[in-house]
Amino acid sequence: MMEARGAEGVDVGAREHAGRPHRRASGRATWAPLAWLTVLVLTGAVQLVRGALSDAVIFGAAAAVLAGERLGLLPLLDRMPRASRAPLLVGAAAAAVVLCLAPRHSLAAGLAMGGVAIGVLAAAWPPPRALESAHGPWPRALRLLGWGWAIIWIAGCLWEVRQVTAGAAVAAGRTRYPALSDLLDPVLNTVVGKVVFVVLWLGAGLFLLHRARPQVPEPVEGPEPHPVPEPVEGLPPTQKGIR
Amino acid sequence: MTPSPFVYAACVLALALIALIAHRMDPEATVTELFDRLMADRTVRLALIVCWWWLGWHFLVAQTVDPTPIS
Repeated sequence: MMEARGAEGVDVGAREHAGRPHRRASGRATWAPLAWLTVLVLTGAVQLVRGALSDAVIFGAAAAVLAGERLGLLPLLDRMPRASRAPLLVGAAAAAVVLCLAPRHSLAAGLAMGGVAIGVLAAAWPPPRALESAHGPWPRALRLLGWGWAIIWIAGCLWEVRQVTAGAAVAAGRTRYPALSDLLDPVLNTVVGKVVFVVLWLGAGLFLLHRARPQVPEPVEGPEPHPVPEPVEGLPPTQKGIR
Repeated sequence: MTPSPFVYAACVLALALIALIAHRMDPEATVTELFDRLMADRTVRLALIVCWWWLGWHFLVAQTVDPTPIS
């Protein structure tokens, strides 16, 4: 682990952080789930304002289900068994083929995306809350990385919202204020562009699912065992020593 | 020329730069470690997965570009 360990194998940083109300002893920030639920709600609201009702329903439903689960209202789903890796990889490969070959916005692409949704939910929902792996306190450099990435992503999303709203407000506004969708749409209409997008998108999903698997705990380091002296050939057992 | 492509490119570069700086400060402060910690909580994990899935849905299936407003 990244933090120094005391003689008992306990994170020194964990002892230092113990008792702080905003952070668990495990180092997991308790406000992170609330922040992400807020992200889902705000994104759904933006979709509603944009007039994309189906997208607003997706984010709203996700926020409602996750909030309910957080509050313990879905106890039956807590012990959902984890999907094994092989069917997941086969499913990802099949989805990649369909999404590359089927036209954009087609029924086949929609069915493939539905299959992906079911597969990733089955893979990402477990483990049960009680078995979630705990990490040590966040080291300074990792906190910098987390906050830096959060600020950059939020800035990028705010720029996207600004482009979408400004572009929709005036005639030919999408040319003056192109959003990411306007920039990528022509690229995705080419075969190469779509294939690259599908591969990158599915690769990112597999990365997320791989990181979602519980990490194997590192063994606690102890003192080195004393070396066992090798017997010297030709000496009686009482006179055997180190060669 | 619209600055939009440059803004998105700057965001990508900034993400890479922050990751590099953090890694130089502490070799174990990696993007992988960041996601390991984020994905340990079910709410965060599923919220991230929903955002990722929606990107694919948005660009491959749904209405990607809003209709041009009638002038």
